[in-house]
This record gives sequence, structure tokens and C-alpha cells, in this order.
Amino acid sequence: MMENLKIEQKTGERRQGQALMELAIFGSIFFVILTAIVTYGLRYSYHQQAQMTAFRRAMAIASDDDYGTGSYMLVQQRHIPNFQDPFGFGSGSPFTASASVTRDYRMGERAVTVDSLPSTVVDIETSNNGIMQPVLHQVMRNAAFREEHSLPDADNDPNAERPLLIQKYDMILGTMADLDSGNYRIIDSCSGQSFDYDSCYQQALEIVDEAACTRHCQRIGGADCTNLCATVMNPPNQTNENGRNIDPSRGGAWYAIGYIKPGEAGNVTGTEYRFPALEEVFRRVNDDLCVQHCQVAVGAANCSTVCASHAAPNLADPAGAWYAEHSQIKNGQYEFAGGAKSLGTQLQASISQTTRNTRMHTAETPTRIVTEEHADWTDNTISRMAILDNVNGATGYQIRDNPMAVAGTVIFSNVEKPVTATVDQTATTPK
Amino acid sequence: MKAGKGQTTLEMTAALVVLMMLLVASARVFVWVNERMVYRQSEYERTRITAGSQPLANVDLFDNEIRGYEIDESSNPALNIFR
Repeated sequence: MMENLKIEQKTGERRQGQALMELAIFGSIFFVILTAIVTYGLRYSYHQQAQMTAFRRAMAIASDDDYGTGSYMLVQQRHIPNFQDPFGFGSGSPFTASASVTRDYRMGERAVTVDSLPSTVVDIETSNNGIMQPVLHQVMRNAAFREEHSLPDADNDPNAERPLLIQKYDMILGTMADLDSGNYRIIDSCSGQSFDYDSCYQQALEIVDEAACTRHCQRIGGADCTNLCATVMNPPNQTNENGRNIDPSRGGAWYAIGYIKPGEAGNVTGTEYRFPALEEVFRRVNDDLCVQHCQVAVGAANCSTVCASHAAPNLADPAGAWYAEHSQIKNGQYEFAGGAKSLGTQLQASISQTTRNTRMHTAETPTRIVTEEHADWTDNTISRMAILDNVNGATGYQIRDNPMAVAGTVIFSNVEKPVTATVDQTATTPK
Repeated sequence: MKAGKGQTTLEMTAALVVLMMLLVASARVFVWVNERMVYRQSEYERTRITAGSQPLANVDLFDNEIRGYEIDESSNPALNIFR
């Protein structure tokens, strides 16, 4: 009897608070689930809103008869609250949406003026207490005009077949505008303020390599691909004419000059073509991103020297040790591994700085307790932007005397995206 | 001595009340998020033809205020857990 009582007493003590303890444990898990539900829901909602807004704004640009087409990109930095924080502090998250709209009756047209060149309007907005405010408005020309001369003259009859060489140009660079007498105007997507490395590499490859051209031709179901790709474009071309340089009197693709085939000096162990002019542009961008990341990581003053050296780093130096960890060897030289493959406003160097101020004051009187809370915070995300400056003239033609100097036109700037919020509330609890 | 008689039941009652409050609150938030998306989508569909039929205008790409026929969400219901 006494033993049973003792057992019952111990079991009874263990039972006290059991349910509440389980609720406390389960409740915290429940809050995590609730936070996840709210976060996921808000993210999806904000993303949908950004997509709809981007589309409507692209449509607004296309409503202008001078354009007929609009390309718009929207980046919104918004606050996602965290309910596990006493004040609901969360963090800023970017929501990106883009849209391109072309009026039906303008679908078959080509740009003829600088205003009608393909351009992307980029808007970056941030949230200030839930109200979106503009941070950056940027217009980037995605292409430029350039002319090539001394080409076979096409028949003025639009139904007549164009010469084989002109068909090759049309396939690789897009349908050219015939200016008569062997002169043609190209809308080159690799001559604008921003472009993508991979697509321009592929374009250059098809210009100088018959096999790559043939693969493209066969992929689109072209006829007589072998003979078409054997035709010779203005230099730089597959025949090493003019020493793989551009003949200024005839015009050519700047991004293909000085190409190096696999196995040749400068590309001995490589298996793919190298295009030094194109590589130099993105080397400048990668070096800059390397410096940004290095300064955030180690704060060293010699980050720019280390990143620009492309040599084996000194492991005893903090910047060198960082560089050794974040670089790769490419074409016999060290290069930053986290680089970008396209120009634009959303490069990878993001630095987030958060400032939070909280204040809680409780005043007790004989009849009530008054609690005042104040909280304000700023989450500032800094992204790096890189575009080519001074590459298009007022008429939309590329201005470039020395193609290898294209890399020198890359300009960098920081885009700061601050998200701010303030909370003030007073609670009065009567006694 | 019999300790804890009804103790578990009492605590469970209190715990269930709090648990139900949490469940209801999470359901309210979930429904509100979905509601906003539904309202937005219906407004987007309703204004589709009007937005696409806007008269031709002069648009300055370098203008900081390129705005299309955008959806007004100010009349959408606010989150009210106690509604």
C-alpha cells in the first residue's frame, strides 16, 4: 500500500505541467510552421504582383507608336517579416520580374532609328514602411546598328532568293537591312550596352568556325548548310583573312577579332575557341566583382592588386589566401570563380547592411501599466551594376575605333536598395 | 495521497484553447494571403482589355514614371485575424 502510494505520488508529480510543457514545445514548432506559411505566401504574392506590374508597364511602352515594342524589368526589394522576432523584424528580399510586349502589327518590323533599337527599361524599387519608392531608373540599349560593306548585292525583289553569303549573315546575325550596292545594316545584339557572354561567344563562333555554323543551320532545318557555311564573311572570318582583324572599310564583328583556335599558341590545351576581345570585357567585370567580394570578406587594402594580378596568390597574405580559395585557373591564369556572365544591374556582389533600433519602455501607475514600443530598422542591400558606356552614338551605331578597347568602356556603379520600416505602438493594461 | 487528480485534463483544456487560437490564426493568415491573390487576379483579368486598348501615347523611356494600367489593391481586405 505504501509502495503504491509512493509510485502514485511520483507519477502524479510527473504529470503536473506535462500538457503545458508539451504545448510550449509544440507551440514553438507551430510558430516556425506559421512563419513558413506566411513567408511562402507573401513571397508568392509579391512575385505575382511584380510580374503583373512589369507586364503592364511593358505594354505601356509598346503603346508608343515610335517603339511598338517594350521590354521592361522590375526589381522590388521588399520586407518579409519574421514572426519569431519580438518586433517581427525580417529581412529584405528582391523580387524580379520582366516582360516584353510587342504590338501585333509591329511584329515583322525591324528597328530603323536609335529610338526603336531594342532597349530594356529597368526600375529598381524599395519598400519604405510598405510603400514602394523608386531607387533606380535605367535604360539599356541591348543592340546597336553596324554596317558591313563590299557584300554581294541582293535583288530588290523581296521574293527573290538572297545570295548565299547574305543568307549566312541573316542566319547568324539576324536579317540584315539591304542598303543597296553591297551595303547592309545589322542590328547586332552584341554591340549594345549590355549583352550576354554565352550568346555572343556562340555568335562569334559561328562566324569563324564552319562546323559551328553548320550545326546551327542544320538545327533550324536550313538547306545546303555545307555550302552556306563555307561562304566567307567580312573579316574576322574562318580563313584568317586580314590576320583575324577587322577591315574598317568593310566592317566586321568586334567580338570575334583575334580569335584563337584550340591547339594554337595561347590555347594549346584548350578544346574550344577563345575570343580575347570578348573575354577582356568580362575579365574587367570579374575583376571588379572579385574586389567587391574580397573587401567584404577580408577588408584588405590590396584586394584590387590581388584580383588584377591573375597570378598565383601569396597564401600568407589575407587577400591572397581569400583569392586562392575563390579563384580558378583558366587558360593558364587565375580568375575569380564567382564572376558574372552577362552585363546589367543584378551582378553578384551583394552586401547587406542591417541597422536595427529597438526601445521598450514600461511605466506603471496605480491603475494601469503602459508599455511603449518603438522599433525601426533598415536593411540595405548593395548590388553591383556593370554596363558598357559610350558604345552607341546618337544615331544608334556602335562607335568603336579599336575593338580591343571595348573593355575599357565598362563602367561600374553600386545600386543601393534600402528597405526601411518603423513600428510604434503603445499598450495600456489596466490593473 | 492522490495527487494530480484531473490535473492533466485541466492543463489539456488550457493547452487546447491556446492551440485552437494558433490554428485559427494561421488559417486566417493563409486565407488572407490567398484572398489577396484571388482579388488581384480577378482585377487583372477585368482590366485586361482596357489595358491593352490604351490609346497610343508618347512614352519617354528615360522618364522615371513609366506606368501602365496598374491594379489598385487599396480596396482589398486587410488582414484581420479577429474578423
